[in-house]
Amino acid sequence: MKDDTLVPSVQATGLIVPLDPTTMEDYFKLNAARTRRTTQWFNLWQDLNIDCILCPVAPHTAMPFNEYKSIGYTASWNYLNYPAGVIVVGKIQQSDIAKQIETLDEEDEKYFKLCTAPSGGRGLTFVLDTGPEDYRDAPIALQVVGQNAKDEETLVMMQMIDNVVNGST
Amino acid sequence: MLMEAVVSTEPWSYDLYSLPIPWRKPVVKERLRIGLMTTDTMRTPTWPIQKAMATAAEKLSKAGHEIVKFDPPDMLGMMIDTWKLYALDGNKALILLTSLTYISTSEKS
Repeated sequence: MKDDTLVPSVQATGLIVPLDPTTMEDYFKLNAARTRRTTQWFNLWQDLNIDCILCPVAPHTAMPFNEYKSIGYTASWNYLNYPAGVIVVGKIQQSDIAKQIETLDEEDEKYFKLCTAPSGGRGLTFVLDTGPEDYRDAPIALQVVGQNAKDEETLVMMQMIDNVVNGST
Repeated sequence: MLMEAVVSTEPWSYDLYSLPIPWRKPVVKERLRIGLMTTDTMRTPTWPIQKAMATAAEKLSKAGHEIVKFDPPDMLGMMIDTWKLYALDGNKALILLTSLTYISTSEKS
């Protein structure tokens, strides 16, 4: 089996690696856990009494080719069966690039370095060696998430939020 | 839009198996209550995204919408299970598919 066919970023997500198939028992457990979490999230929506969620699409903006692998902000809605859409709100400017920020762990630091640090020393072979300039003019987007089976309502809310944030033109 | 057009013909007048349910327009409040989730608790967004989130929240609350900050529960657990659900067959099908693509593209060249 050739595994050099995968795009590096797909490989980096770790989604397509040979594993042991899930047993029926584990599958039932996974489904039960999913139902439990869906209920937990449903209660959260009820408690907060919210209409939609506004969150990032990914911890970073568009990255250098083949670097993308952090899917936590999008796959979670997939898991919960929520509709979600993306609104572009602007572009990265020079002033953003200069801004330093406290980092949390190694992985975070890697992304921040892509954004803030001067070029070189990143230990990543795919990256264009232009440092934070890679991010310049990259579009910034936010994600709007609606509740299960409220896809059309989510679209309407996205339109409303887009009008406010980007100015209704 | 297609579905709206189809349902507007009231197909239940002609089709025994069609349920008599008219197309519903989405109903959304004029003033939204928006949950603001600034992190997935695993990766902190880069500065430009944090700024965009803050600006958007400010604009939205100025426009009369309510912003509610909240911490998402159990995101890591969800991710782990998502991964497992994506790979129920141990990724056999995907690996087969990618290896087939490899063969067909290499044959062409």
